[in-house]
Amino acid sequence: MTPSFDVQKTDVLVIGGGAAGCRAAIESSNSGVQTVLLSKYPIGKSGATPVAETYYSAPFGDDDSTEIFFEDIVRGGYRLCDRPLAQTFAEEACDRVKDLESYGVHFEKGEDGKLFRMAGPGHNRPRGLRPLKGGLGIIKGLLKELNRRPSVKIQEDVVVTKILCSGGRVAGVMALDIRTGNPLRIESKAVVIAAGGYSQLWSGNDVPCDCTGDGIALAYEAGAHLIDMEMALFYPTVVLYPLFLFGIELPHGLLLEGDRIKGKLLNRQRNEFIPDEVPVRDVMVSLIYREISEGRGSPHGGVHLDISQSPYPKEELRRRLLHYLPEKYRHLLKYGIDMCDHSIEVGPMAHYTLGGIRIDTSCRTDVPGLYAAGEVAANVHGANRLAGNALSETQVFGAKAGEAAAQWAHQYHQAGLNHEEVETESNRIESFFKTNPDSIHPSLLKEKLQTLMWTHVGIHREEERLREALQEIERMRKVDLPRLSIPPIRGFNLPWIEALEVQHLVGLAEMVTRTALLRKETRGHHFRSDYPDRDDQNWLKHILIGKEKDGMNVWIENLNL
Amino acid sequence: MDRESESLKPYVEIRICRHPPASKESPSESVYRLDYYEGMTLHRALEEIYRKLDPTLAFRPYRCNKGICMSCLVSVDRKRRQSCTTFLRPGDRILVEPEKEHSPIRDLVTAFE
Repeated sequence: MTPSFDVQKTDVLVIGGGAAGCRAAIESSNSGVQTVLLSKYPIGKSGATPVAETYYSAPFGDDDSTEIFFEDIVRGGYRLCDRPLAQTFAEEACDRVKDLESYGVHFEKGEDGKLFRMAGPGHNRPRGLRPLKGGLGIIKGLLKELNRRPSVKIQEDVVVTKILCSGGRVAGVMALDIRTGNPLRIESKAVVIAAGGYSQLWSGNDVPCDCTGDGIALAYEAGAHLIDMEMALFYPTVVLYPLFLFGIELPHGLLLEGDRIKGKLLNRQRNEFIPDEVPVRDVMVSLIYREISEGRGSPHGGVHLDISQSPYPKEELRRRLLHYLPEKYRHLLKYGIDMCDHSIEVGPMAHYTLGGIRIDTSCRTDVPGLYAAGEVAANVHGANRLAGNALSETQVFGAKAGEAAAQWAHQYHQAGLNHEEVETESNRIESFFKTNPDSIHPSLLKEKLQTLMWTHVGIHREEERLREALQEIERMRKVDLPRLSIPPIRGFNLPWIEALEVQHLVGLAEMVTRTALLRKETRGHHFRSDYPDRDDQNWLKHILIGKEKDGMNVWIENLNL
Repeated sequence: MDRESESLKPYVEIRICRHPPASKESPSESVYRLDYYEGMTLHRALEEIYRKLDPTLAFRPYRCNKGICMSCLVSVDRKRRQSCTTFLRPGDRILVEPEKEHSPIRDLVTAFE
């Protein structure tokens, strides 16, 4: 039996309890409107923010400027970013640091008392600020600030299943209270999506389990346009072996570059293959991939990350690791692995979503009343993202989205509900409980899809494999998705959550594969082995996706210069 | 593999307290036996139980991979432990319960507030 709805009303509803969503909710409450923040799991224990490792980019140096930062972003993304978005990003990254400090987030200071700034690949000035405890330090500060605001209501363990629209604008969301299994309907004048990326689409990934792209799939269903979905960022140095550390990112810029640790990447013959000046991520990925694919990989299919040969004495090296990589180094020690003595096998894995929901500089999507910020939104970076730009992106655009959504809520009345849409959605959510003699566990389908994407739509792509993938994805959509089945339990039913997620993932897989097939060039993280060159003449363009009555529509647009 | 070498294969036995959603009922217990592998953590064991043996198991699947977010906090043999940094040894027989400081939701899942 379906329990009755819990119905709520608010002015602004934020989906996502990561750094972008929390910042959006703070800004929305600054404008004096009622705000509800929904998070799939508890804040600080969900999404990509707590695992964000190294730094927050902002052009604070006397030798730095908005212009230099902007140029680095554009060049770093192979000129595919949206210029106005990159401009806004470069202009506001510093101010958002000051906000974070006012919320109690600490950034490391140099001996001169100024913010400590680290150099990083692709950044022409040192601008990597170091928040204490990394992303977790940021999210804890944001949460503390949110808790000071009575106009914000936080609801954790809630997964949104649909964005409701009527009369061509947003009306609220349907959601599931994971703890009880009760459906929720939250009516809202404006909705901000800040629900993160879809790196869980690949079996090789370094992101938490909840990064399943729900927000992008929900926005697409609501009619928002998506952009450059083929652009998925692979992180070059994620642990492959020891197996129990599989999927843990080791920051290559920090470990290899400059005079901090002086580690090395070595191939099977223990030869170096990375230039002295450590390149940006997509170039690193390419260089590592070449070693592996040409038979010079390590025993477990990666390369060796070795800091044992560092010129620094062991004691000094340990001190530096504890300084630059405190949580992760201690964590590895707990596992009995001291990086000073053991080399670790690493390789590229899915890390960050460059594509996603199209936004403008006010974080507006193509659906009136619907906003997006953070990793879920596309095109701040283009075809590659520079290190440290993810955390600053959450703050710049989180604040923009919160402000714009609150303004919308001041201006417009609540849209009426389309009751048929509500009922259809409610039936869909319950339909997973149907018994099916030929049922399939959502985890299993997810694993099959992740493996397919890794082998066919992974680091290197070519036409035949992409076409095979498209066929298999179509089969999964038609044959496997209707067979999903879950145990007859309402409260904290993980297969229920995974069933919802895998439905999104199958849709996202189709989008990524279709756009990867269409972009016949190599740019940034999109490597086409059958089109190995960058083609500015034909492909300095975006690929857009939108939902039409007859299905998924894919088209090409010129850049916004 | 014959029966004798099968029985020599290292394993771990995990007893899980299944806290019911309604607090009036008393908790039950489920016992799972898994093949041991080097570097096996409790969190990875719980994932394996959920995926391969029992989809009804409720636990917090999120982990930060650094041992700092505390999402995977449980009680192991009556001690507070993060399951992602709790190593298992061959032949281990352990009791896993919901962490006691927070109110239980179902099985091993607690509310953090």
